[in-house]
Amino acid sequence: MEIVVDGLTHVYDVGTPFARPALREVTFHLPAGSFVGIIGATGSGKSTLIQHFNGLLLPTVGEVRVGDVTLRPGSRVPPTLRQRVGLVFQYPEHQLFAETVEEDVAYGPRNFGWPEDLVRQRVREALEAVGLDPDRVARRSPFALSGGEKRRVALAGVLAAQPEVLVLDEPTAGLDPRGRNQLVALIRQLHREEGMTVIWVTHTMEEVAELADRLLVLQEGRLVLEGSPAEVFSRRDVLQQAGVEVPEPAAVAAEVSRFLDPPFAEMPLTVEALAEAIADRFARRRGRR
Amino acid sequence: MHAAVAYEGVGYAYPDGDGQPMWAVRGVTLTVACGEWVALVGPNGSGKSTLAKLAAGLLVPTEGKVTVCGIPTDDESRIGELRSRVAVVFQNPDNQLVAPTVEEDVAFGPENLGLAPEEIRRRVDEALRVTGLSALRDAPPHRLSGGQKQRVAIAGALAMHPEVLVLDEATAMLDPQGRREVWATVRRLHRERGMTVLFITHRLEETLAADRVVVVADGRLVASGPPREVYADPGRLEALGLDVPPVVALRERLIRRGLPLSRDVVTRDELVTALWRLWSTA
Ligand SMILES: Nc1ncnc2c1ncn2[C@@H]1O[C@H](COP(=O)(O)OP(=O)(O)OP(=O)(O)O)[C@@H](O)[C@H]1O
Ligand SMILES: Nc1ncnc2c1ncn2[C@@H]1O[C@H](COP(=O)(O)OP(=O)(O)OP(=O)(O)O)[C@@H](O)[C@H]1O
Ligand SMILES: [Mg+2]
Ligand SMILES: [Mg+2]
Repeated sequence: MEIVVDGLTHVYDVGTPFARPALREVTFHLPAGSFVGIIGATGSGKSTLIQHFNGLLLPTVGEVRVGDVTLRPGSRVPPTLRQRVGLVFQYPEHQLFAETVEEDVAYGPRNFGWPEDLVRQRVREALEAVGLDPDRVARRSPFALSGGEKRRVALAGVLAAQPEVLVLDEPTAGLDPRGRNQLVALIRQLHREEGMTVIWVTHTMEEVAELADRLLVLQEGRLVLEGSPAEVFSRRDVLQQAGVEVPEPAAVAAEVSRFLDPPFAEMPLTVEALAEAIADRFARRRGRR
Repeated sequence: MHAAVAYEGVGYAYPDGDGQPMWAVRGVTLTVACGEWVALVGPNGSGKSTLAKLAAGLLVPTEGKVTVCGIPTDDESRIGELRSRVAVVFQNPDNQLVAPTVEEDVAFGPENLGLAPEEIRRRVDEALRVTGLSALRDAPPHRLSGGQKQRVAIAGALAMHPEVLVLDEATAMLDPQGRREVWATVRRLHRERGMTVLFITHRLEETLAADRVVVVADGRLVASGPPREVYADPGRLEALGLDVPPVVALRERLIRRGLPLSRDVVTRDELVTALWRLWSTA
């Protein structure tokens, strides 16, 4: 689904002494099927922005169009929007609510009125997809789990509802490395094979460098930079202002590049690309001697 | 000299719904020396947070014994003393934020220690400053961003001036700059005051500065040693479901492509220096 954000300003607690805009006149357009990374320092407005995509928050000024739904100040949110746009919260505890893991993950599908055996199947598939054993966790309370297990249940709950747009707020925080790799592979597959639109908020630049086709950079509620990962990560001046760092491989590349002759024309952004680029330089240097 | 935290043959079982015990930690014997920095890593559900709660006396072992600075955690008469020595910051800050403003929240712990008001003020100001929260001191903590909440929880723990600080994925939601700032502060307190640190994380690059890395899997200790030793063998880490830090991943890929790099190389600076040497002599 296409997402269009036009002049979006969001102010929490309008009319109180705490009122401060968390988003200021943000405008952008995401084509259907994109994989978008949203980055920016602590408090820059990332979570506030994405909660507009399924109508959890409404604009204070401006509008947000998600597919054929337009959200403006005071709009009524059509209930189907929550089904079509699945949002995984930054803290899984904000999402989990049921007495058992099974009920929690089944909530969406049951609500849509899917037949019970289909619901059960979806729940099993979703739990397995996030690396949980349904037989071991389904009857447990989602609150009596470890941090990473809670994160996985929250992810499963959103995946089970098979949304058209998947919005993930720091989805790998708390996951162990294997779980992180599995999640990255799973979301990449949903994006490539099912054409799902994915919006991925993170502080881990290596993730979006690898996954996203487009990045949005927020700074104090404003959209300050937009483009492909290569474009965005080459704008060090803007990133520094925004308190955003480049992925570790790009940082290594920049330092190595100082003694290479000629330096890298473009900084490799992933470990694989950098290893290849460095090995290539060494091979050529040996060849020349 | 007491150990900072001593686990002796510790087991912990959570009751499951049907009253059956579910063992989260089993047969753990581990001594963290005073002034030591220990990184605790392991897969989801392996028992790290349970070990953290046992160190704070929030859980009492089902089996064995936990002692913190010489205080047995099951000695109810010494619980106040225990709380003044060990501070924990958990994965989810929400459960830890209690007061209507950031400032009052950070002051909550020191107030319970019965300190003089000037001392409380001094500690709170310092904790807010080093966590970059001074401008948000009057804000209600539950109306902050995810990373801002995490900073409040960290500030609250720092204001306790604990002898033992347990950080349970406490910086997972911080931006890299914030993570570095908190890191620098904790390093300084470790160095200057000899604060003992138990650092739980899934980011292995954050364990490189530890005196010791302890790996848990399925409730048991499965490996322990200086980071360089533990990370010299990427195959073993993978078998444990762990990953290597980005620099180590890069090192391994370069070795595979024929560059003669030492497996001692684990940080960015070390890798850049090693590549520079190779380049100069290639
Ligand atoms: N409150 C609880 N009630 C019952 N079981 C629990 C509870 N908390 C954790 N467990 C279980 O105990 C085991 C260890 O959990 P713990 O939280 O210590 O893991 P962890 O290593 O911190 O994992 P993570 O990396 O996901 O945070 C897991 O199997 C978990 O499901
Ligand atoms: N419920 C709320 N009520 C009032 N203000 C809020 C609320 N949630 C967030 N804010 C404020 O709005 C601004 C943007 O917060 P937001 O949560 O969108 O940031 P973020 O980019 O997601 O940060 P983080 O990386 O820390 O999660 C911050 O200044 C924050 O203090
Ligand atoms: Mg956020
Ligand atoms: Mg944990």
